Amino acid sequence: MPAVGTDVLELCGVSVALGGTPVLRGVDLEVGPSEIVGLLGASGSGKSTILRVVAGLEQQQRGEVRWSGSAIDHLPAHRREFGMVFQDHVLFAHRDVAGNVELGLRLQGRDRAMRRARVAEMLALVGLAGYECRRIATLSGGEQQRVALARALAPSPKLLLFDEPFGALDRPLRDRLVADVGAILHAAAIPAIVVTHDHDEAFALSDRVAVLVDGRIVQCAAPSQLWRHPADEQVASLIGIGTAVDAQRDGDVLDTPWGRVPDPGSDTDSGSVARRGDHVRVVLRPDALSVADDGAITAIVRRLAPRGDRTMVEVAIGGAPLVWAETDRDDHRAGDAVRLRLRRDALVVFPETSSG
Amino acid sequence: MDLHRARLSTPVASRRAAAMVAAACVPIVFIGWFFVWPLVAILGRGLIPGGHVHLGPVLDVVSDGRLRHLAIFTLTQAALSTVVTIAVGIPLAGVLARRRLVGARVMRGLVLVPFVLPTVVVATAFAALLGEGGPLGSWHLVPGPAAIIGAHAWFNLAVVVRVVGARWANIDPRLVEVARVAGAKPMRAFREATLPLLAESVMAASAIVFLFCVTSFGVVLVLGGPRYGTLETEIYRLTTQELAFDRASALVLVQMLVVLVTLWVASRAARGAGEQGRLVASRDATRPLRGVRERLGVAAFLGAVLVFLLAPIVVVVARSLSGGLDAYRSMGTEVPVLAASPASTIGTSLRSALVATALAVIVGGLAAAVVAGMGAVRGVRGAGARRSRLGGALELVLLLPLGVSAVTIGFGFVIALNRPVHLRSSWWLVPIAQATVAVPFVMRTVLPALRSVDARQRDVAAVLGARPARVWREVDFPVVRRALAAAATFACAISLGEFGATAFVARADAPTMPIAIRRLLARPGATDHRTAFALAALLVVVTGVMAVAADRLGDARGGY
Repeated sequence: MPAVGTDVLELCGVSVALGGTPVLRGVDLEVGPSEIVGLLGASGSGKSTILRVVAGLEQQQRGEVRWSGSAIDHLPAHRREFGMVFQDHVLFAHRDVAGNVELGLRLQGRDRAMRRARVAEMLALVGLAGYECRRIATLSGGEQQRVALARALAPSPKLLLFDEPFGALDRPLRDRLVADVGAILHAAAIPAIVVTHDHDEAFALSDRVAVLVDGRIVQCAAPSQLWRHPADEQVASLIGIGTAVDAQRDGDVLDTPWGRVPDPGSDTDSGSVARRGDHVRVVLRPDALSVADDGAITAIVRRLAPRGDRTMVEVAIGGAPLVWAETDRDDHRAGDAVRLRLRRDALVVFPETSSG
Repeated sequence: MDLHRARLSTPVASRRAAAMVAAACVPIVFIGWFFVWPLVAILGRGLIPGGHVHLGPVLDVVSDGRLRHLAIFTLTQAALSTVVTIAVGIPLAGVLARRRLVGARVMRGLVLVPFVLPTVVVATAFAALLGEGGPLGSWHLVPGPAAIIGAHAWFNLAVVVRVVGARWANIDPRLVEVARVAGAKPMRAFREATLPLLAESVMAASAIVFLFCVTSFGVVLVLGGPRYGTLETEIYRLTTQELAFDRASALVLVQMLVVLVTLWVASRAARGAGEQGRLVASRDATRPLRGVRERLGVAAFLGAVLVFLLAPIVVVVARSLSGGLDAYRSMGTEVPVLAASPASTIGTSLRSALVATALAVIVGGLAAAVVAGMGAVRGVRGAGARRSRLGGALELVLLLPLGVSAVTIGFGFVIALNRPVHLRSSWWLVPIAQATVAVPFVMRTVLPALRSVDARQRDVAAVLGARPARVWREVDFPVVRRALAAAATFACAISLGEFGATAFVARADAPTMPIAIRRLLARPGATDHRTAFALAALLVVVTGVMAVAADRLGDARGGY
């Protein structure tokens, strides 16, 4: 628990209903000093509503939002001194780049010289030095997103809120921006909440990731922890691990559709204490299977999917559902028989009850 | 938990709601007082004269010979006007939409000019052209139905060209080519391929033109003389000459019934008419003229249309100058029939129009802000915010004056506005009447601009530290600025030329320009007529310039 008085944002039991439909149901969340927290969830899970409540744009029906230990629910948006970056930039088309970036400074009543210096500084920070007089319409999508970021950063907000900030951009641009934004935020030591439905983005940017399902936070952990021990199948699917299949536990061995494999669960805390003959659900992480001549599993290649740095093959193991495996060879053909190795720790096991 | 629930309504939220209610009060009080209340008074007088329901006055329209004759003339002239307008408008729309012509833009602009002119000016231009002493005076068409129909066709041509032309330009040209290749002659190909696709737009344009002609007042009053009248002019005559308010109220109700039935029939017919068919939006549907025959035919047709469009304006200006600049120089001298000098009517018009513009912009602007504000349901993300039911209802109420003729508004003022405040003899009555006519136009201009503002831009400004008033200044105002300017120009042009409502409420010794023109024209005498033509020429210039300005301001999207 952080001490009262430090710059910590806390949501305690926040519930919101919009038009009678519950959107958030008792959300607890904490963002520490200069911490970046990712909010991951499917569309409609309530991610953006959390941001709007924190920003003061939406009023919760229950619960409390605290900053540095004291409630800020009574503060309107314009007095919270937070910053917000929206998905499709939402820049003011009737102003040039500088006019957009300096808006918060003008609202703070800063003088012109200070504004000009700060705008130049912010534009340099986001990699757009010298763009002051450009019109918004002449910028590319990535440049517009950088301007939106500079606009949010300029007034030195206490906390930055990102609503799907990179959603509208194409993949390479997105990866570069994600890296840049992470570096900028850490350098400026500004805490942030980043709402996204893209698990790669959430993992790349966040110190911790909160997974939101139907208005509840079902798990909140560091990316590596989340990846290793997803709380349930739904979380596993949201962070992109794969779909679960039925299996049976037999001592230290799992009887899966892909054959009998050693149970990784005995040394983890993911499942309850399992007994012989228990029904379980098993998920294979994408890195679980790889082609290896000394592998224990025999499979037939169905098709190939080159992915740039490596090749994935879709394989059939007996009559089990098709799964993907990594390979460093590029001479596989459909119909080839291959041997696969299974990484024990890439197998995630849930007790039967957690399904659905 | 109770502690948390106590925070449910924040001071911010409730203050915003209070501001919204306060802003809504202005348009609601204005429309309630100056539109709904007069309408209620008309209903009361028309249906419940003397305290109990009595349909006599309404049924008189059927039984009373004179009224029946008026009703029949009203519908007949409107139908004939519509037929003439459509007959000229369809080929014009087709040529402008489908042929590549030098000066097509200029032609399209010219077609719009008569439409933006005040009705009294339209009538005056035709009186100058067809009346005594005019180039076509020997045809003896004024006063008479031919002049009325001609004037109606003249200013409604724009409706057909705009409505039908827009549709025509989007019909795939290959449809006609297919018909031609299959062996159809040009007219046959038009009937088979084009007409069915145009049918809906032709029906819509006809309905609009018919409605304009049924409720036409200034044109009929000036060009119909004492012999030819419509329901609108009869309402005016009953009110001003016979003070028969109950009968006039009954006629207003009959008139509104006619309008409603027309709208109903038009919407039924438009729904059933024609096919959707293949449309192309982006393709250039125009083709160059081919062959000598087509060139000559199009040239002759466009030449005739050009003469038709320009002649009334040219003649009214020329006749105002028939005595040199006398008509303009002598404007400072008082004219007996006006009880004022023509110059002072210009002053009266300007003062009244400025006040009316201010009122209309305040009322219409606030109404638009409230409707847009209520439309954006909180919590719904982005610009695609749904409109709330309350906002929709308010929008409808505020647009209602659009569906009611100016004569109805003026008449309602006469019978209703001595209570609760005695406004009947107040100077304010004229600008208020003009503002009532202009408010819906202001609202229709400002509302789309306000709705185009992305709600999240307001969020951005708020998060960056802008209070609600500052949010408006930073986000909404820059976008709405141009729309407001366009609306103000529009409202001013409407007020300057307003005749239907003003005719009922203008004081005898302080006429506005349109009122003065009508009074001068009703008298025999070349000097008075020349003064009327001069005032009309001034209005042509002023309202024409304003219409172009409003169009430009409205077209360019807020500052982008």
